[in-house]
Amino acid sequence: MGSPYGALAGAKVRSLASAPGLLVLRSAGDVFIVTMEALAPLLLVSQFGSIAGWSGPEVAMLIGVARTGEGLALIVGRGIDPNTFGDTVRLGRFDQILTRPVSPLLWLLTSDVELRFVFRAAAGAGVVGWSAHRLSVLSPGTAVVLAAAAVASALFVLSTLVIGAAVTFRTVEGSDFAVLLSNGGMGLAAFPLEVYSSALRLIFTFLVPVGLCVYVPVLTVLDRDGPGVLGPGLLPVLPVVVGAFAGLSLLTWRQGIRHYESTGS
Amino acid sequence: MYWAGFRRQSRYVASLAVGVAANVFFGIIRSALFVSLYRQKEHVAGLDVTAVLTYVWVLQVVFGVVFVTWIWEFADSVRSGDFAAELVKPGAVLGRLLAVDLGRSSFALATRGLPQLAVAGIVLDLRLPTTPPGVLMFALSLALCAVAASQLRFLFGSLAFWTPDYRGWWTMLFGFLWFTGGFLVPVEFFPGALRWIGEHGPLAGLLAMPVRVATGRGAASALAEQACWVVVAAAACHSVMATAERRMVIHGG
Repeated sequence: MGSPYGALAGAKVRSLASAPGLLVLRSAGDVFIVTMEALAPLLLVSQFGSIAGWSGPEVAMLIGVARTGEGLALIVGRGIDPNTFGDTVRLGRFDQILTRPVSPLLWLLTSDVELRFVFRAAAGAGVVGWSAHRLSVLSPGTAVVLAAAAVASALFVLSTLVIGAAVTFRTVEGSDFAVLLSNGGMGLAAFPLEVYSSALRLIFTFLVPVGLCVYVPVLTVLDRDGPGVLGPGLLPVLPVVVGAFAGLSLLTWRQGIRHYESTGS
Repeated sequence: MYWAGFRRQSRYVASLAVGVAANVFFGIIRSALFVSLYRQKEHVAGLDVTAVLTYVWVLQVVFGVVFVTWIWEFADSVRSGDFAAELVKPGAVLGRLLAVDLGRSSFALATRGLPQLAVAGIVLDLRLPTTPPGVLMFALSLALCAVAASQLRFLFGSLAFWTPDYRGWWTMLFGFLWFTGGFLVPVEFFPGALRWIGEHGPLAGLLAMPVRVATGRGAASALAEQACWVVVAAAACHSVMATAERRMVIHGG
């Protein structure tokens, strides 16, 4: 708690805890949405027999990993989502943040901690646990791979948010496209990549590494081979590509701050 | 009022572009999913791949009309007290609110929804009406969907008269609406009684019935059911408004 970031996050958590009704409702809503989403592949499989050769619980595992990662990222990502951060820049509040003796990015991440997303992450983890149990693939080794997948997915979502925030310094609207990248990417990764064309698969594995974060680890856990180059063999590449993506987002952020011109009024 | 709402929405060009990009992206993902599924089976729950692809792209149109960007405005104005000013203006409050809201959603429909559907209809094999009566019925069905969505937003927003936690309730309602409205999986794929509720229940007018009218599966009866639910919802809106106006007096001060 010695750091200002811990104190900031603690203050926000206490303020959220003072309105428990709202927190409970929103958290329950998040859990409900993730549950509904995980039910969709089960319904589809009951009608079609499988989704590109995958069973219901197998597809649910993809959804669970994606939602766990997204939930983890959004716990701290609220301060830089396009709506919030767009206002921060437009209203000139970012000037004040820059004058503080702290890292602007860390300040933004810790000052708007959102507890309801803990429950979204937990619901996602619950779906992963349920599917791993149903498929009898739970072991210490697979648990590590799945946890790494969730952390990688969280890093992916946070990085897109940071890129979006950096774009906000130049154009307030452009950042929405970055969010589309993470939302759309997560929506895409909720189903086996066999479903999509090879171009879409490659873009969303290597350029926008959401397939690498969600799909490849699940392939590893299920001991399956994907189409083309996709398969468990790609797992070692995951930290490299996700690290590079996160690094790129930090570079963009620094560039963005350098071009920040405040609001002229 | 309707045209004021229409023009107001036309100012947000950038948010419109993002909306279209998101719509098209998710439309492509969903299309890919269903094309892949229908390689395994030709007919499922009475629907073939053409019908389901039509569902996907009508969904993209309807999504921009139901889950609109200004979804919080009414509830927020109730919360802040700004809504009290609405009560002073001449004319029926409810009619005015719905007219502005409809104007805004018509803009979304005209610029964001229908062009997408037209392009999808050219690129993909969709089952869209081609005869004048069919086109007219589909237009009517989309209009009824827009009215139903406006009514739904009003009913949800009026929660703010009773509780400051309306955003929390909305998160719950959103999940329910999303799933049972058929925005995740077509209602025809639901099992047993759930399917019947999805096809004929109060939420069917948002998506399931416009899809039926578009693909010509019992179009006339779907349209009639849609109109019935709009009338029911209108009655609900009126009674909520009457109760809420009395509460508003307690709030103001």
